[in-house]
Amino acid sequence: MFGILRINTATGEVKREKDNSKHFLLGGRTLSSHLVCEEIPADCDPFGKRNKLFFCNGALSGTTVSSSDRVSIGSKSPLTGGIKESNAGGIVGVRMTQQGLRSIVLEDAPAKDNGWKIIVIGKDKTELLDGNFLAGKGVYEKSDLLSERFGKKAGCITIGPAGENLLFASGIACSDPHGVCSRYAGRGGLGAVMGSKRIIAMVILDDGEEKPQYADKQAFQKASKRIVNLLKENPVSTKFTKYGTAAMVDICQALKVLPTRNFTSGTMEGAEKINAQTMHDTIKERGGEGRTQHACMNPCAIQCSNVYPDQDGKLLCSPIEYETMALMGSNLCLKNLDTIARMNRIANDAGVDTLDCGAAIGIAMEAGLAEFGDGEAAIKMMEEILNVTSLGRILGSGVKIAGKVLGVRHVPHVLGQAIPAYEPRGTKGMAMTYLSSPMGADHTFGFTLRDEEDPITKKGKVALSKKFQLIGSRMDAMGMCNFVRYSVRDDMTPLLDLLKARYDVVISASEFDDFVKDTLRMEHQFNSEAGITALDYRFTETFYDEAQLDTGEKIDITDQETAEARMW
Amino acid sequence: MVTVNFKLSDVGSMQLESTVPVTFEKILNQCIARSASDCGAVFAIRSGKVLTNRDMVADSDVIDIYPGISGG
Repeated sequence: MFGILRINTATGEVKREKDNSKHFLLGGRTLSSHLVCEEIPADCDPFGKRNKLFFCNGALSGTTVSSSDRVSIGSKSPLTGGIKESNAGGIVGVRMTQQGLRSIVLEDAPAKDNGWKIIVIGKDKTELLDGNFLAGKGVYEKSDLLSERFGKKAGCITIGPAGENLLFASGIACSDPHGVCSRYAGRGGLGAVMGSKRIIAMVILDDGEEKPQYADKQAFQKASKRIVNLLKENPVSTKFTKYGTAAMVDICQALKVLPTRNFTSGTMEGAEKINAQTMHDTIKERGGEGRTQHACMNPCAIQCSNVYPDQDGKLLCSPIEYETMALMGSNLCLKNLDTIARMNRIANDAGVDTLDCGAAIGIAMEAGLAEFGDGEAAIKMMEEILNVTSLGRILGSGVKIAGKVLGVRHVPHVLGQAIPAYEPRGTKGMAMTYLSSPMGADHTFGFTLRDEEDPITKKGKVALSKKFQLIGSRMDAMGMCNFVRYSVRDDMTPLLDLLKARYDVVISASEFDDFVKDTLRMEHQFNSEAGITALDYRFTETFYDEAQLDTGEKIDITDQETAEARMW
Repeated sequence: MVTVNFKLSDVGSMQLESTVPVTFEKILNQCIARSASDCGAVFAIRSGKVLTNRDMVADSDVIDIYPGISGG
C-alpha cells in the first residue's frame, strides 16, 4: 500500500491515506497527472483554494537503482493555464519513501494575508510551523536556515521571493545531496502555486524508518546492477558524465538551432566561449569546489551535473545546464560563462525558471531596455526579478507577459511557456514537440533532434515527435531521470523487471505504454476543459512569417498536424 | 581522403582513404573499427547539413561527428 499525506493549508488538518492502485505503484508523472485530473477542476483559479499541489516520488524511489529518485510536482499551472508536471532531482524523493509516502498533497488555500508556514513531516507527526522568518529571503539563505534548523540531511522544498509574490515563472527548489535547495522543478510557475497556499517551505525529516520491501531481493539486486551496466556501457550516457548537457552548445551551433538574439538566429559568433569544452576547462583550471561528473541524486551512474566555481574556486552556481547556457547566453548574445553563471545563481536565489526569465530578458533587449550582449545589464535585470521590482515582476512573469507589456511581437513561447534551447525553425521535429506538449513548449518531452535526418523539413515529424513523446514520457511516468531513456529506448525490460522484483507486479511493455498514453490523453483533456484550444498550440505569428536568419526556414506546421501529434 | 572530426571525444580526427563515393554509414563503421570504440548514436554534419547513413560521401569531404545527446 502506498501512503498519501494530505495537508489542508487553510485549516492545518493533516490526513494520511493509503492507495494500492497501479497509478500509485508507478508514481511520478503517472500519479501526479492522474491526481490533478481527478481532483482539480480544470477551470479553477491556479491561485485559488480548489487548486492543489501534488508531490509524487517514483516506483523505484529509495532503492539502489541508479537515477530513480526524481520527484514529480503536479498542479494547474498559472503560466500556461493548463496541467503541469515539473520534476526535480535531489533527495526529496528518497526522504518521502523513508516516511512511507508516495505522495504529499497541499490542498485549499488560506487568506492571502495569513502568515507563512513551514510544513514539517516526521515519523511521529506532521506539523505546520511559523515560517515568517523566511519571508523575503533568497533561496540560498532559506536553504541555509532550513539546514541549520532541521539538519543538512532533511529533504527541503522551498520557494524564492518570486514564488512568495506569485510570479508566473517561479519554480520549486528541492534539496540536493549536500543539503542545498538547488534542484529545481523550474517550469510552469508551481512556485507561485505553493506561494498562494502560504507555504514557504516543506521539510521531510531524515528520521523516517520505512525501508523498501522487495518481492524478490536477489532478482532486484541483479536487475539494479544491470541498469548500472547499461548506463555505463551506453556511449551516449557516458558523454553526459564528462561534459553534461553543455555539449549541446556545439551541436546546436552546428545544426543552426542555437537560439540567438531573441530566437532570430540559430548560430552565435563566439559560441565556443560558452561551450562544453570551455566549461570543462574552466572548472578544472579553477579547481576548489568546482566539479564535473556531479550527481544530483544518489545513486546515479550518469552524473551529468556540474559545480561551476568562481575565479577563487568557490561555488558560484550548481548546476549550469545547456538550456540556461542558451537562454541566458546565446539568446542574449552573451559569450561569458561567468556572466551566465551569475545570472543562473540569481535565478536560483529568486526561485525562477532560467528558461522563462532568460527568454523574457531577450524580449527586454528586443524592446530596447538593454543592448544584446550587455552582460551587466542582463545581470541587473535578474536582480530586478530577485528584488521583485516593477520591471522584475514583469520579467518574472514569463516571456509571454513580458512580450505583451514591452510591445514585442516575436515572443518565443507555446501556451505561455518559453521555448527551450532548440530554435524551432531549424528543427521541425522539436517544433512539432513544442506544439503538441500538454505542458507548453517542452524539450524533455519528445526530443527528436538526434533522429531528424533533415531537421528543416516537417515531413514525417508528426510520427517522429509522437515516437519520442512516448519514449521521453516513460521515464517521467515512473520517476526516473530522463537520461536513462538512452539505455532502455528499445527495450523497457530492465525497468519492468525491477518493478516485478520490487512489487511482484508484472507490467508488460505494452501495458506500461498504455499508462503513458492514458496520461497524455488525460493531460490534453484537462487542458481542453481548462479552455485551451487548438489556437493556443501555436507559436507567435512571426515564427510563421519571418525566416530564421541561418536556416532561412519558417514554421510551416499546420494546426491539423499538431492536432494529430496530440492525439493518443 | 575523407576527414572525420570526432568532437567532444578522445577519438579526435581521422583521415580515411576510401573508394568514394561511399555511404556515410560505411565511413562511420571504418572509424569505429579503427578507434575500437562504439560512439553510439551521433549527429553527423557536413557543410552545415545533417548527414544520414545513406548519404554519399565524396573525396575531400570534412565531416564533424557529435555525440547524440540531448539537453536538460
